[in-house]
Amino acid sequence: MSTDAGPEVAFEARGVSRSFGATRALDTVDFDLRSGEIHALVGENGAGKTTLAKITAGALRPDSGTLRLFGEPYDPRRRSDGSAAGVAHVRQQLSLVRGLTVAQNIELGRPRALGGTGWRPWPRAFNARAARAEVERLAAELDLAVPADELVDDLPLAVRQQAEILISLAWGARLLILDEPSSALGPLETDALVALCLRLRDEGTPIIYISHRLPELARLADRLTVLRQGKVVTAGRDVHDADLRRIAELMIGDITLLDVERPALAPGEVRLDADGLRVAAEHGPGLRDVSLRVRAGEIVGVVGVAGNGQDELAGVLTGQLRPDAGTVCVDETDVTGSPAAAVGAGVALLPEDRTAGLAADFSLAENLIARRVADPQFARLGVRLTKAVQRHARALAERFDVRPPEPALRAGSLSGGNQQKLMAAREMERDPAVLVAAGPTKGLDPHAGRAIRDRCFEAAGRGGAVVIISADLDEVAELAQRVVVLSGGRVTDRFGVEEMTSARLGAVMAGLAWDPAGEGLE
Amino acid sequence: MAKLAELTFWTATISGGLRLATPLIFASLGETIAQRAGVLNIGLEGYMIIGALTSLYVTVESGIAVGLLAGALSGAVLALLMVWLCVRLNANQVVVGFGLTILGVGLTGYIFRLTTPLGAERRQVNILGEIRIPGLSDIPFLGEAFLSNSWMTWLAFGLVPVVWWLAQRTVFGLEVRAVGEDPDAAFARGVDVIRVRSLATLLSGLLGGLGGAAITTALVGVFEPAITAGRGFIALIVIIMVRWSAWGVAVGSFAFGLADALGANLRNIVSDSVPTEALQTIPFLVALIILIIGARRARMPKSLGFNYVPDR
Amino acid sequence: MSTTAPDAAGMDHGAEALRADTPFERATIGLGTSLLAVVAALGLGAVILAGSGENPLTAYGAILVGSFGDWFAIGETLARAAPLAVVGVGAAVALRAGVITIGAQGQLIAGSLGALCAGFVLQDAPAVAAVPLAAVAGALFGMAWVLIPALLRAHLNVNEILSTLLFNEFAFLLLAYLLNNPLKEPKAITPKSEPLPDSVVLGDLVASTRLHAGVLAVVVIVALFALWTRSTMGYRYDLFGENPRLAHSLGIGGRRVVLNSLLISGALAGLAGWLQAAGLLQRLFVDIAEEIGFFGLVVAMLGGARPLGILAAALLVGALQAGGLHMQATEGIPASLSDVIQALILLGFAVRYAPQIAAIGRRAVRSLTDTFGAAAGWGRARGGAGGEA
Repeated sequence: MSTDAGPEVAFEARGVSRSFGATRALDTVDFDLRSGEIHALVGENGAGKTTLAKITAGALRPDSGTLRLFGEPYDPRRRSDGSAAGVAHVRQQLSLVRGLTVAQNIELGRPRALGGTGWRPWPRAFNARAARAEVERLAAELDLAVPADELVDDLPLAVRQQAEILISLAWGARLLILDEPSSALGPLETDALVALCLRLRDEGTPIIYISHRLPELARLADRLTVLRQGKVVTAGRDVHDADLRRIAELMIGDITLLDVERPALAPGEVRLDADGLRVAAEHGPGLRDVSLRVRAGEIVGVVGVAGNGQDELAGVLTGQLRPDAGTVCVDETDVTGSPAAAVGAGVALLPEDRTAGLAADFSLAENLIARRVADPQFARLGVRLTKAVQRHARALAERFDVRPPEPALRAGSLSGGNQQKLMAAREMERDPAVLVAAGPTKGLDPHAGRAIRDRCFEAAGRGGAVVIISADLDEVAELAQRVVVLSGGRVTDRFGVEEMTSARLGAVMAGLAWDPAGEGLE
Repeated sequence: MAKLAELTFWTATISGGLRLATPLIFASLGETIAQRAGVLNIGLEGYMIIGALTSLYVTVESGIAVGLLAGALSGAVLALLMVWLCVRLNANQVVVGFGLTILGVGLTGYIFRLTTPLGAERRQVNILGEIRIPGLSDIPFLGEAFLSNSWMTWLAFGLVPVVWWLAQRTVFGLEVRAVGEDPDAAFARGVDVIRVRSLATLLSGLLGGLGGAAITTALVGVFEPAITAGRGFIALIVIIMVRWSAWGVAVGSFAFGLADALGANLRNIVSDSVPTEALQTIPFLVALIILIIGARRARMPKSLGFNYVPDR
Repeated sequence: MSTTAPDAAGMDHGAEALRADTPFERATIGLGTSLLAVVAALGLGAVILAGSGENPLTAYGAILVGSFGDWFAIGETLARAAPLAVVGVGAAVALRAGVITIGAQGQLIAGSLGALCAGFVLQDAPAVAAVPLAAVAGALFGMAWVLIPALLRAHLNVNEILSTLLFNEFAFLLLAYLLNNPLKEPKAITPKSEPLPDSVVLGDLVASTRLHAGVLAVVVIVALFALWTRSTMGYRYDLFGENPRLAHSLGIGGRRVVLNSLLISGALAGLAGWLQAAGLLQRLFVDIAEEIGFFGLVVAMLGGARPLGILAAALLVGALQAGGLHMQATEGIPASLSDVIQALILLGFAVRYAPQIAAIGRRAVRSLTDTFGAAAGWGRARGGAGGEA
């Protein structure tokens, strides 16, 4: 394989496969990381990037294939084996304990080989001064502003990430894996991250950099490998020679996402009118004067990096969260801060966190009836008519293609896609006036994703006002006619579908200015 | 009522308060660690009562040192069940804790009745003597009230800085807090969540058992069924009030012990028209107030009561 | 409103449905593991008996005779099961809504005081009116006793387990005071009240037993509870217990659910107090509550917070307690053994709800149904776990 024997190889995977149930997450993958390089691993969601990263870090074991680390055979059984061998995996959901300070985190779980905890009969004193000094020394070396004594909870995301990288190095990392490190960062923070990565590389720490943001990779990576559906489609290509457009095509494969057939929708009356919303949030920016007006038959996509006010927006639009200021009206009925009023006015919600939208230990039938339990059709004198509920559940489950459409089955036993369909069936059974869908197709297989997408189109087609809140550009591009960009709790840009280019989306989402050519549709 | 102004009344009440605080301190200190690690031991009452019986019975046979050790270990054995069922098998913490309380009370009642048929003489030990600090304990009022205590009381207060040190100044303490706040992140950092939670629960069993031992060996000298009288639950209240702090446990337990002693001592000096039951409500009223104040300020460990199920 | 207290809404409690996917699996796993837990508890109990030098067979024989051996024994079992079932139903309503209350003990005492007060007022009223009014008084007193903890829980988020526990102490001390002073029967040595007037006393159902007519009320209450589990209101309460966030998004107010479910459980505990005062004992004693409040919660947990489960669990616990006393009287083996066995059963049931154990049970049932059940059509309902793959 490695014909040119020149550069030293830091990490090497040969013929690695790993399956989860029937899904082949990795299929005989070869991968190598040279010393002194940043090797980008790119691919769509579900392409196998994270699985490969976890195998490298020791958090997963491959079904087959061999690994070598710095020339030695490498067979980690758990994450701590990986960190003891010098592999650090900085994940999307960072793993610092939030209730402790950075200095305390540096000591927590330090690998035993590096003077860390193992079992010993007597508790080891925690030397707060030494830990603080270590953090400060490394922060100075790396030119990072990481405060040693602040609670991780109180630090901005970017600093938390820097702290985690810093701790990895303190623990003796010789190889870094950064998994989607920039997905929640603003442009300046991303610049700082790129600079840090380059410095680390130059000082001799090779990095596996996982991302699907190609422009960023062009700035920092040396080589890149593209994964698609568990297979390597391009191995170790030199980034500087590569045609990024071609790489993007390879990544996405045959599906032309931006050309989904969208039914013709004719927007009518304003059905959802949210005006001047302000929410103070404990973490993140909350909402700072956000207005949104959506017409019947219209699908508006709210895009933005996660944590920029999306959760608050979904909460306020569905009445679950009372805003500090502003109103939400549905068909001219005020539903501000009242979930009951919102449900009564026909507001439907597909929450991003699916555990919030489903009673997992209830049966399908009991879940499907949740919005209509007192409906005369299903209850008489306050007692539920079990037969009618079951019949209705079966019909509804079949209509929404929930598999299996078995009313007595426990909802939690369904697959993720079917749970989402079940939720859609409950929420969209009767054409909603307003549908708020947060990341509705996130994590679904293509089939289920298409089904949910069609439901959103259907809701709009029948005169509903649809709001798609998502950090996934592809999802928004497929669904929305109009795009609203949410950044730092404010609407920073609005434009129509015809102006929607990935360049523009990428730029405004990253907080960059865009020529105010499109003044928005409002 | 004139006696209320007398110094001897307050001397007796304060030293009595310290005495009554003793079992609470032991139990709450252990439970503080367990709760910081995210394990809610509703069964603390069970640990205490089994410790009370075991320590007394063993003390009669083998002396106080072995007796205390046995009491602590018996509490830990019950806590081992908690570890196995909740920390390992992820059974519901409240249900298991409730079951352990019933088990402890039932088992000690069974053993007591079996070994003490009606009319038979009860096993008895001399309650632990006082340790007086030469010079200091002779200081009028202060010395009598605060510095003439059973050595079990000294031991309890002596444990406070030890537990504080363990929680605040050791890596184990960091791990305990980490697994109670955010077990997923702690696991990702390489902390063995299950091991830390198990150890913390066992510590709570050891100290709970010791707290029960303090009742029989330092306060009463005999065992009778239900002798712990809900002190395990009072300890849970104290912990909420003092926000999981070791020093706070000392203060909170003393406050409750003082209320308890006050209720008992007032009986001797108030007129007969005041029902004794009214005086007996004093400690519980104090506990209720503590609970209400505590609930408003509580910032409990984020995953308290929730079991940790690793992804894989 | 967000409920952050993990001991209440949000945490999986003993009443949660077994994590089985189909009703068939739920039923078979439920029954199988229940029996297993009871057998295992009895086995451990036998080990304890043998270890303390008693013959387990003698002991269990005595328990059996004392609980079902003759009409008197059966009457004792049923009379003990009755208040347990009533308290259990109340605890179950709260458990299903995600609220745990250990306050039944105090509410039961309050309820018995209510029945006594009603008796004084209705001394000369006809029984037709006096008996139901006394029951209502018991329920209202029980409800009143939980009102403060309920308000504290709903509005200040004060832990209801601990506050209701304190209110148990207050109730006990209040009763002790009343029975030692104003309510004391003048000539009595031990504190107890005058007998309740005949107008409110529940008659015996079967001669020469202590089985009183109040047991019939239990049937009504359990039937009403069955209706509750199928009612629209009960559905809303259950939904809140199962997923508070979903309930909130559908406009179900958490505060009201918590408050009302505590009040309902208080009323039922009060009714159990009425059963004790007007039915079994016909006067008030200091230990009128025995430990019915606690074991009522055990009954609710053992019964999976379902109507038939509660009936079965109440019978089991009632039988163990009646039999335990008989064993103590005839064989000299302490009745506390019954408590030990009940605790062991409860622990067994707690493990039964544990995810790993439930998964093992599910697998066992699946392999059985795959082998034998395909023809019976059981396979149809469970194809879904794999999803659309």
